[in-house]
Amino acid sequence: MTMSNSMRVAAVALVLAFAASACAQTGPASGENATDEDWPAGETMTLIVGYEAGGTTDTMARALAKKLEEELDAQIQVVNQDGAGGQRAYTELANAEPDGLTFGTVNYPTILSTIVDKSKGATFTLDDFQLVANHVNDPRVTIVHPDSQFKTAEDLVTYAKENPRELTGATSGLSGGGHFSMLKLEEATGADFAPVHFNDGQADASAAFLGDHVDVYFASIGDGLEIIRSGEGRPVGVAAQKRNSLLPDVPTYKEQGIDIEEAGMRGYALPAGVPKERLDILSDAMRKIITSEVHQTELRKLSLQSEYMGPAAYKDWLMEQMPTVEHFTQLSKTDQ
Amino acid sequence: MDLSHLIGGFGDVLTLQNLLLVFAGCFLGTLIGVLPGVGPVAGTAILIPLTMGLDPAGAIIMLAAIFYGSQYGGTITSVLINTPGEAASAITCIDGYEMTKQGRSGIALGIAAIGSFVGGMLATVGLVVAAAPLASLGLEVGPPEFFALMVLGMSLLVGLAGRSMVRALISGAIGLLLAMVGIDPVEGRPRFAFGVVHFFDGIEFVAVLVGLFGLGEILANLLESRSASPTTKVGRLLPTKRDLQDSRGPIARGSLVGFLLGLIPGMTGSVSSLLAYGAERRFARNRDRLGKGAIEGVASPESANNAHANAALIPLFTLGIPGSPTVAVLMGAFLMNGLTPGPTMFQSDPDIAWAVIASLFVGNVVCLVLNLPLIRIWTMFLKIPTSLLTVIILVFLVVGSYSINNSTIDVMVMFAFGIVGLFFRRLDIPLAPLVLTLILGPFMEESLRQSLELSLGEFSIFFTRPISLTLLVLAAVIFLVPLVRYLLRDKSQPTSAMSRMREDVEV
Amino acid sequence: MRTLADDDEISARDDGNGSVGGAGTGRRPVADRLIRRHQFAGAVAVAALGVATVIGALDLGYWQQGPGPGFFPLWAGVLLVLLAVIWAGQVARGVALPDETPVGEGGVRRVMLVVVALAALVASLDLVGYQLSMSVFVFYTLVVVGRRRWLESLVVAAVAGFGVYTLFASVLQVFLPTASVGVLAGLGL
Repeated sequence: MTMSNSMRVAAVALVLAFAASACAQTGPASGENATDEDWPAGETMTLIVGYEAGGTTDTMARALAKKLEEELDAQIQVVNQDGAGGQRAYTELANAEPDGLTFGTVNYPTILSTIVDKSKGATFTLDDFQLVANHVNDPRVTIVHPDSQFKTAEDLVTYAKENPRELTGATSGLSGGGHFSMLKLEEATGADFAPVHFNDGQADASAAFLGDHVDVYFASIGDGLEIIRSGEGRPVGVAAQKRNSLLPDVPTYKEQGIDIEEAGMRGYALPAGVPKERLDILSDAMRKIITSEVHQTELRKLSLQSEYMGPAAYKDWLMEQMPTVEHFTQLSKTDQ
Repeated sequence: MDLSHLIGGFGDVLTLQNLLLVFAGCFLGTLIGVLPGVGPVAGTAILIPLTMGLDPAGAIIMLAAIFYGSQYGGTITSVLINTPGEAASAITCIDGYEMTKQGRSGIALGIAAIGSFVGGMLATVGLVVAAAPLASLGLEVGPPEFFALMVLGMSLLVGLAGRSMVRALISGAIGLLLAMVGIDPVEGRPRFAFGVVHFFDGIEFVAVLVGLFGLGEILANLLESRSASPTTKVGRLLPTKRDLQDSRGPIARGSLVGFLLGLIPGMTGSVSSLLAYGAERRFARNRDRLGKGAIEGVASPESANNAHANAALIPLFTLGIPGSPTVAVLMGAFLMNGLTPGPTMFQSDPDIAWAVIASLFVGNVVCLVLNLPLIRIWTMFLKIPTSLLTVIILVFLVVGSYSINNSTIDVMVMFAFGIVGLFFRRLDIPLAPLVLTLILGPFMEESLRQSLELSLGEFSIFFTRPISLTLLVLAAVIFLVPLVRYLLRDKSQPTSAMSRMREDVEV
Repeated sequence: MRTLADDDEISARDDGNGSVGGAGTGRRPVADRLIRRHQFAGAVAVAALGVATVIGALDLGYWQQGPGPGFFPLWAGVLLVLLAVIWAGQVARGVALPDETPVGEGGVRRVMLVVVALAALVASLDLVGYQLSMSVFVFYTLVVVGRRRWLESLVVAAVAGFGVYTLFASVLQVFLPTASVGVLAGLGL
């Protein structure tokens, strides 16, 4: 069978049109033509998001990307490379060209736990990345049932100490932030909980808590805010340095005499080796956006609060956490 | 629920702008659903920026339309080219494609649309009438109940066997094996991943399905010299009265299964369609026809699928819990547009909330109205000359499997399983059991681990909780009764063991 | 040699029930002997898979306050071996043997060509980029396997390679693989 002549003509025309537009898509080759002063104007950048489309990290990253496009006068392609708790994206990012055009999301604790957990066989270390900025901090909050006997962290911890492994606690994943917050609490106070891990995600953990299948929920504020606001859960402590603007009435653990912290830092990084001028341009743009008032409102809608950290500060913070993460990753695998 | 609010909601939706948005959303959603990789999750997420220019109500209405429109899309390729558009449509391939081979593709698509409509409407009515109590019902399902449900699903495997029970079990065991690949829920260590980071989350099962069904079929056709378009005859586009009558039961049962399972956070649409189909294969009166192009085999999973998708909105609206990744995307869209799903939603933003709910009704109708005439267009694909169509499908398979996760590894998986699918066909190893265990396996292992974490290692937890006990007993009966009969069968009669099993089953 | 193009004529004659035997196409049914051989080979393959699984599972923990990571894989493997043995037994006794659709003329050749082409495509996606590799693949399969006309195949190949790439990138925001090899990457492929 053959195509009729008119179809043939149409097809050729179509092909030419596609070819033309395909050429238009490809902008100047990376770094060759652009002058460094207005870099990255006119370029196409890639933002690798290590989590599923539509999730919190993804939504927040896309919101940032949109603002960055205006700020930098560049086009940003957001690519989801989710999988393996972010490891896939980190691997991709570490191997990317350090021309400043590819950057990616970096979440704590996964960026560190994938490195320290030898069984994961990560092909990168922290030195393979150039941190650019931290975007949000979504710290952990411990939630109990509203009708439970535990009104303060003290109540909870005392009970858990006297009745080891009796209280069950939901986490959104083995060796994740929630699990860490539980382990840190245990180590600091001698309490003993029985963790139940919902590796498929926060939604299942929330459901388990709401359905009264577990006693405690080691959630992040983003995950647990609705539960708290609707009265379905009572927060007993936030694992942060200072009180969170989304939960201004909830004391931190520190205030209650338990010195633990489990932040939920999420930010961005470039592959190591990007020229300093470009790093500066990118980090300045991000700082401007992240610290702006307008953006705070946007983040609040996602139940998030920004906490900007620049390249050096972010790197330092992560380095500080490394030994802790190493310790607790080990612990999380053995303490069941 | 207050009817006046709902009526108000309808008022908001039935404006020209919003109606256009519903149409556009349904249409786009269907297109998105057609592509294997760009499933409801990615599709909805991608289109979020598109809707940013609209007012909040309009944006959410359109996104919701895209969401359930995409449920329809996945069916089209399942039926026409044996390639599931998403995991939930995989089961439809079995009878749907057979129907296409018999020249009844139009009818299959028609019944799928009708069944989807019924399932979706029922679920939406449930949402309006009894959202809060239904959501609480869904919450009753904790890890032990979840596990029991998975075991029940697995027990339906016995109904999926064809000529040979042994080969069906082999298929199931292989699926179970595949389900084990990835980071295990106990130690958090990669298992059978061979160092491939992409496999840490398990082998992407949409890629497996696209390969097994889609590519496998093409390779089998190439081998056996059949045309890729099995018949150029399209036949009727609308189901006959008989077809509708035959479909009544499956649609009702499928909708019920989908609806109930959709209430459970963590349950995906693929489980619903699987279990609905499995139950049909096991219990329905005309079950012998299933697997050979029975309309029941399309009606049941499709109704289940849509009922599930719409029911999953109930935990979202009442509790703020997204029941599945697709719903999570919708939730993100809600949040960005200022609507916080959850218990406070109806107090803080009643107008938008009710408008969205009204749009679900409208949208279901629109999707049906839109999709029925489109069937004629879709079926025209079958008229493309064989060799050209084959290549087009191959392109589709490659692009589709890549788009799932933006990964060439998924394309390799698809390719590998295409070859596996070819061998399965040649050796008469049924595909359905593999699909069953592949999808249910991870859930089963995960919920088992969670249950034991809850009970501190005590297995009694499954038997002390009434729901899980009931489900487990049911599963045992379903699985063991025919097995026992098979083993005790009168060995002097050389008839096919399967037909004896089917005759004898009373449960 | 009969090609895919010829199938269009055959399907017109086909009774629409192409799945069983060679009823409408005048081919001999597949010999029982051959079927048994295939089935037996399948059983062996499954048994091998089972053994490999068991071996792999032994490295994983068996029981840790509940089934460990190695528990289910071990039993799945054992089950596979068991079932494979039963299957082989059934084949030997001639129980539950399937019918096999006969392989069409040139069928094996066609399948091999497509499989090899697909393998080449998949392997080159990340290397050479989607646009180039898909165009080549489509052109090759249409012309060599499908025996279609040269020009028409070129057009389809261009659409499939470049057109689809552009469509996905601009409308769907899905970025199909681009080349990693220097020269080609520079061209934006």
